[in-house]
Amino acid sequence: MVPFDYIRPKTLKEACAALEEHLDDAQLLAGGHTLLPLLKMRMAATDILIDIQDLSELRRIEITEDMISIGALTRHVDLQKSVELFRDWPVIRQAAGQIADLQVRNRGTIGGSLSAADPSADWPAVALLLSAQITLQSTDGERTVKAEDYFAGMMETVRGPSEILTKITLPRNSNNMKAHYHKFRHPASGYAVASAAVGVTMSGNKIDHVRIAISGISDHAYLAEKSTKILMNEIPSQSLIEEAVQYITHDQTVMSDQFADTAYRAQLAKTMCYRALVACLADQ
Amino acid sequence: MLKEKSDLNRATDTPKRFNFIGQSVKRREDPALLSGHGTFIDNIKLPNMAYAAVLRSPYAHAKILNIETSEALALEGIIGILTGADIKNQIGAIKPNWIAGDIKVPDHPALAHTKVNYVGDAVAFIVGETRDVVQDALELVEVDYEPLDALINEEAAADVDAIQIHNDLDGNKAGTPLMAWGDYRQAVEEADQIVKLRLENNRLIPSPLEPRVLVANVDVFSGKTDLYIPSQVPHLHRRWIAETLGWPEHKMHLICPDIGGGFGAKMHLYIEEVLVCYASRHFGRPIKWTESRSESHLSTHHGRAHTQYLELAVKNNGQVLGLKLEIFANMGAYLSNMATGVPSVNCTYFANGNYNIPHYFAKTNLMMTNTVPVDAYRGAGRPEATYLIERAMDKVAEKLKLDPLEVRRINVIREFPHNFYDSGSFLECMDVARDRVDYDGWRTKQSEARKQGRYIGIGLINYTESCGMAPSEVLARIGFDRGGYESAQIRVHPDGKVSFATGSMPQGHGHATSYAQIVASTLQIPMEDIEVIYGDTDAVPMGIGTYNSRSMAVGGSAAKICAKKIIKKATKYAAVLLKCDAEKVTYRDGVFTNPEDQTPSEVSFAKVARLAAVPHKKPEGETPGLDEIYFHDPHAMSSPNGSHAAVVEVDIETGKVKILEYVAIDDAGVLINPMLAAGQIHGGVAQGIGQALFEHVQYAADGQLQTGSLLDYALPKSDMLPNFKTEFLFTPTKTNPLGVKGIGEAGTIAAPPVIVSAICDALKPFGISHIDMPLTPPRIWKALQNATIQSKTGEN
Repeated sequence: MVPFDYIRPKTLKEACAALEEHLDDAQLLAGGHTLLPLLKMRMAATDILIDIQDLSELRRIEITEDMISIGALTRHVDLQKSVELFRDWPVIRQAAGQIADLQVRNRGTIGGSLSAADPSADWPAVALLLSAQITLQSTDGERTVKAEDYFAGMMETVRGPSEILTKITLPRNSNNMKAHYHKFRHPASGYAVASAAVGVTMSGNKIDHVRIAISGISDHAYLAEKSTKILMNEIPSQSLIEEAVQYITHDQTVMSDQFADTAYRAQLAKTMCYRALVACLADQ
Repeated sequence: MLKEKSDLNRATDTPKRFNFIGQSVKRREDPALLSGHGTFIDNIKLPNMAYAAVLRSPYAHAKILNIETSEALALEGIIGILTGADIKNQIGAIKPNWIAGDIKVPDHPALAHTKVNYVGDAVAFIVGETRDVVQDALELVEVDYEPLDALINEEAAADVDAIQIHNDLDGNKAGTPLMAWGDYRQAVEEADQIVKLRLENNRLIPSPLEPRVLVANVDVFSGKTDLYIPSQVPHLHRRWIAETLGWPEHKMHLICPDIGGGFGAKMHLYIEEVLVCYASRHFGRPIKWTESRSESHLSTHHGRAHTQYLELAVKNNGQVLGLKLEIFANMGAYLSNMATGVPSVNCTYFANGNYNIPHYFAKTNLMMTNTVPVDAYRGAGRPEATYLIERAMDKVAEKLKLDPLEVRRINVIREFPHNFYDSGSFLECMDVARDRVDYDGWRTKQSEARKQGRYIGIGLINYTESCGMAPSEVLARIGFDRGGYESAQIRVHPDGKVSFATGSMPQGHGHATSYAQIVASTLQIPMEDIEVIYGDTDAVPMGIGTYNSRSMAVGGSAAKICAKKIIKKATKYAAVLLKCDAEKVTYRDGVFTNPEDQTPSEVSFAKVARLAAVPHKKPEGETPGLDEIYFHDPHAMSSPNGSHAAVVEVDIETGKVKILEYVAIDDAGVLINPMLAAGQIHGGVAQGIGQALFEHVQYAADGQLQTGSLLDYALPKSDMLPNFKTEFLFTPTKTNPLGVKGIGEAGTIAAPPVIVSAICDALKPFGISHIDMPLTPPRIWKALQNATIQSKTGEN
């Protein structure tokens, strides 16, 4: 590890001020499960580390009549165990349980994951599926960005150098959407080689609403619009689902690495999406 | 019959009070280890200790034009930097310990000074005040390289057009050892069919939990060197380091505290081991060097890495008459310690597996490449042998349209001794495994599942191996420059408690427990009265170490014989106290008895020990004390065997494999501690499944290691493995007084072929008969795509 200065603010206000002062010279430390390994391997270095773990105001789940607000420092394990969240969105527990391993789930945070924006991470797909709003705070104030507009590229988001991701806001599940997260884990890293977060709302025997978010395939998680269009307002059938998943990587540049080439990755995306859709329909 | 055999596991017919052989005694080591109180070398800090880092080549193959260290030396906290030029006449070449035949050994300097030969080859040794400063200095040493073309693949290295890595090694071959029996040409004449196969045995990274780590401290006044080293072979390491440095051995003191796994990777001479000693003397400071995980991938020796060509001469009834084998064994950039013997002896001597194959010919091409040196890794040659013959049995069955178990049954060895095998239960294990896995039941389930589009496969394989490397004369004949013995020393203290020392060296095995079981049982005293000592070359008589599943067979036998000598001498001292002839004294349960019932009629082991230590009365002609030392050099090795069965299901849409059942039937003769033996099977099978399904070292064409960390190199984790069912048969060996064989490597030998066999069985409806390891989901999916395309083309 290359030596660095360490700041540990007690409040969000202090943290924003520290970030404003140091901007690109500083890195924010939340759960540390992305940043610390990189620092240790000297693949990343920083002059100043702003450790925000004491900002307890960012580690809470609040549920109102129509909204769910998740603090950025909420750990994966908290999301997995929350009974209130599970009542509305069982898919959050399903996804949280598939993140890495117990140690990572006990330390890593949802805000950290969404800030790192790893193309193979789990929360980006879930955030897209659940139409999450992401709140960014700086000394200038706060702004809210839709998940669709938040991810900008490979490990890139629209978060500015002086902004801290403070919370993720979700709607309540008032339309009784059935959702599932299916993931194919990389055997070494545990990241998604491909994963699909899928939600379906039925109206009679027809699909009223469907949302499909894919991770692991492209430089950032995306909504599979073309597949969605095929399914919308149709009576679900095997052939319909098969047709829809054919377009799961439509308009995307599919990644490849030494484990999975583009053809295999696309096959996994199709399969994960197919299985998630079938599970959603089975729940109706 | 099984029950009858298990009775043999008990050492005596009438139960004795202190008999621990065959009992699953809990490990004495565990309370400290499980509560985080183990003593591992990276936690050791000596006063005034400095730290070292190794500058490694970023190129697979390059000339070194210049090394500029001035900027790094100017960094505050840097004590000094050694380069190849500095040590050229001070430190000898790193030499292999096993030269299996007519082999040319390329020069391997501790620090490269003219040319680097793999990514990770050491160029400079940096010493500084802190861990961080030596890491900083790595970035400041400027080396001018002239990159050269690189060779990665063992077959490509044999091409006539291939570049030559070492000047004195034509065609990149260190040698081509041969092995044969019978006459393969005759087998071809008599055969109905010739079956051919090409197999890859994938390159693996041993990955012990604790990477390598060293602390050296040279006392400048006495010249005494303390070296803390996680060595499987402390006395061999002492000899190699002393010889390479040209230092006297009596001044070398190697200390091995707790070791976090070795698997073969901690039993070879590495450059850091000589450099850290040399640097400690040169700079007058204790020095620690700790390998990081990613550094371990680049510098700790890899395993396996074969391409094999097989030809089998078979009769139409399935009988195998002959086997012809050609191996291209990847040696890496230099010949490591045991590298030449692993393929050419450990693999080719046992390539007939559990089968009677009368005619055999094998050629091993020992190929140099620009990769990390390859050496012994748990199983060391036997996994490569078992894999090839078991894949061959499946291929023969497929070709002749026979049941794979039937082909194995026709060829299996039934009578012993046979060639290199002293004894075994080859057929029995196969039958028990077939029964326990419910082979016939799964065949029914398999055909039902196929109708539903589910693909289940069943595999059952046999293995044997030769364990307990010995005797010394045989090692000499195969070019192995070490003894085949093991040491035992028992010191009996005046209170009757015992210190037992062994030259073997655990890396998590449980020697403190298993040796105490042997010594306590033989001395017939409580286990609590035995302290087991190892891992200190000043405290332990010269031994060999732990590898080749030899500790119990060789070291355990030494312990038993040594303890028996103590009882013999103690009986004479007891006779003094019992006032009778020594011949009349009997010994049982820690008590010497005079059957003629004089007074006193009984005397305890402790009282006898006290008399021997304070010998105011001595038996005629006896020396004081009961201490004994014994070096056991067995007359032969032994051959454990077993049969493993697996049932898998393949998800044909993703290529993912789920292991539904894993059954291990093993026969390692008498088991000292069945729980530890089962633990060895669990760990070994996990690593074997790792080779079959997950682990795969990948190099880019330019020689960059692509699996440089555990984010890319997939080790098996507990949630990726099934529950294992283990069971033992007991066929004691007559080659040692305990009747024990080896168990440590069985799992890594048996698991790869049984998993591959089961998967290929599942994929039979697609016409797939073989996929090279590791059978990762993408590889299986690709094979299915090709098979589907082929069958579609076939229909047109």
